Amino acid sequence: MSGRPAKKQYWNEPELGLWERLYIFEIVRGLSITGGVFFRNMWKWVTGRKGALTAYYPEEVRADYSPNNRGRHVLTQRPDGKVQCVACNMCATACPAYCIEIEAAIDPTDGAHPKSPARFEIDYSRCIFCGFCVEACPEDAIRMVKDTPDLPGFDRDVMWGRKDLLMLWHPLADPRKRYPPAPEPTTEVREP
Amino acid sequence: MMPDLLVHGLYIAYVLGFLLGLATIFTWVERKQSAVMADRIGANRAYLRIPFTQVKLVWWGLFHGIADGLKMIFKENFTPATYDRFCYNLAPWLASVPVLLVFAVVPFGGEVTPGRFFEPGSAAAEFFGDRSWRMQIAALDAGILFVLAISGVGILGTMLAGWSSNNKFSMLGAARAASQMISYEVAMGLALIAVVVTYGTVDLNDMVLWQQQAAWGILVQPVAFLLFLTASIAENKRIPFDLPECESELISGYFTEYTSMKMGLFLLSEFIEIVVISALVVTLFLGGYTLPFLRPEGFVLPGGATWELSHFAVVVLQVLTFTAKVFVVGCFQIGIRWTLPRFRYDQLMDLGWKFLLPLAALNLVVTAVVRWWTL
Amino acid sequence: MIVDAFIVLFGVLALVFAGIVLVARQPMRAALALVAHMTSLAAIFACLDVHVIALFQVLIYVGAVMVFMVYTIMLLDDRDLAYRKRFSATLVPGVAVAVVTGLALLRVLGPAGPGAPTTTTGLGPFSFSAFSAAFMTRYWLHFELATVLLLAGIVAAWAVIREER
Repeated sequence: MSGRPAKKQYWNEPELGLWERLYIFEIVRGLSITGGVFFRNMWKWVTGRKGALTAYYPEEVRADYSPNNRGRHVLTQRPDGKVQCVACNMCATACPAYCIEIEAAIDPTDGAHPKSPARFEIDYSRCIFCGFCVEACPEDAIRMVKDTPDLPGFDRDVMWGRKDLLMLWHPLADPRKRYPPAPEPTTEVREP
Repeated sequence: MMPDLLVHGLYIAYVLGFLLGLATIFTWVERKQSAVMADRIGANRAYLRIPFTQVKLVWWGLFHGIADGLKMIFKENFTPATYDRFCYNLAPWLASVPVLLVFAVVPFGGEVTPGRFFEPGSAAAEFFGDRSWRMQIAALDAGILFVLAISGVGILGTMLAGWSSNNKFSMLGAARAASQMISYEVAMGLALIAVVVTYGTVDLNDMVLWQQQAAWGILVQPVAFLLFLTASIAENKRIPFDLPECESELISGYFTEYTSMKMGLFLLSEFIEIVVISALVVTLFLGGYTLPFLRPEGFVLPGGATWELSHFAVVVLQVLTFTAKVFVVGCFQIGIRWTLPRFRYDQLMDLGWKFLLPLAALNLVVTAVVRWWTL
Repeated sequence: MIVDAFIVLFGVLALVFAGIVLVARQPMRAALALVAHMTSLAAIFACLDVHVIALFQVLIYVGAVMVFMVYTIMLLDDRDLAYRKRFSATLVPGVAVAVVTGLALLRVLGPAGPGAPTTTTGLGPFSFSAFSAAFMTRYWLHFELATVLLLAGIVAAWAVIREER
């Protein structure tokens, strides 16, 4: 018996030919693959196109989002630009994550809609994007659109969707759901 | 005396800026090149804001290197309960200083005569006279020996780091690093001896001039080029030879226990070494700072047509040529790093001792015979 | 002038590090001091404009020999508690003997001593006969002293090995 044990045979022994075992040509092949991808993508970047499959996260809406994607809350507006919300607190009641906070304000000069939110805040660090607020709203004042909230931040204070941020969106031409027609201008104005 | 001091002071300042600047840029290149290779976008969030304005300079994430450096400097300098505090603190310096030193003998430009930059008769021209200096910090006659000698010292740093960290992972990493670097240094030295036999000199500047006269070293010594590049990447402990610091097995290898700028020195020296290796490859095999047909008086085309250039333009052109070549070779190294998988340790040793070393010896023998035949 | 200053500086450094090699108790410290000593010697050679010898000093002694020594020390990883003490217990007698020996050598080989070399008559071309004559007449005492020192080193090594902990 020789002192050296027989080499163990494995079922998945590598089957390398001489070409693979010389290694250098396989390196060249690998480099040509990665280099090919690099130069193809680089050519796209240089000619002003996008040479990547990933998306810039908050800036860019991903192309594969569903049209019904419930990403970010928006507060709809009346044609005169005022917020449609009447601060009834139904959305805050329906919210399972308790993340909506509304402070009402009253404007007695507005006959049709005297109540409006002074503060309308959504805590995006707690929101679960369930969409119950949209369903609860009797005035169609809150909707969710195909967008991402501006979440990245260094602490929780910047994760609040405030009223002015929620109203940055001006969806006067939403193809899926028409906006209510502009109300007739009220003629009788009660003096305060 | 004074012109010497001034010129060499400028050289040292330029080379330090060149090495550190290019190393920082290579950290960016590593991120961005890998991203583009993998259909990603890459790091692009760090920015510089111009003071008193809201103008944010993003520049494709170029400032991530600065952000990294600042982060490293301001992190807590945690020291483990180490056995040997002195060695622990000495190791990062022993690992990073030799890398910087190697560049001292690399010529980054041709002969420069500073007196010719200025108006004849002006004070500056009088100060420099008509002396000329090689663009090289130390114009040693034993250039390549210096490269080998100094790069061997760096092993001490990695071993000390692993040993003094008082950690099994560090210890394993240091043992791996030391055996790997010693093994590949042999192959590297043999490959370089073949180069020396071909050029008939050990002076790096003379090697560049030889290549300008005859042909680029990559055409004359292709095997030595491959061997040298492989061995240098192994010396640098980067993928596919990154067993000393492979994250999946050894956390971070020999510098696991290092924090803040001490770890930064290890990381930075890795990128500086990319620049140094590229500079050596360019000098030894890719014609150094020379461009085809560029002579000290301007472009001299083989047909006899000449395009006269001023001395200043030629010097700037040589320095830029060197920088561009170094950048391209460095990008090639990073391309290798993002293409190849890591070796297993026995494969690594097999490659070093059973493949590269015999090949280097064979190459040396063939070179010697050819040289003897043609002499 | 500046070169002379550098030679003196590196000579002093070499002596200091050589002393540390002898008195340091922890093997890694001794090895590092030896590295520094070799590097100082290389620096002296470099100051004397013999770059090749300086580089081979670094290449062979630091890059190869000392690397293997440090490797061995690292792998043995001998963490004896006795190393907490930085210097060995026989530091004072050792240094005293070294100083006495040094003074004796200076007395014998110095400019006033019997072994002092007679003034050299310039550097002629190298010839083996002249070299042999000089070796046998002028430098025999140095040579014999070197053998005595080597013998002392062998005895010391034997004593160290025999020491029972």
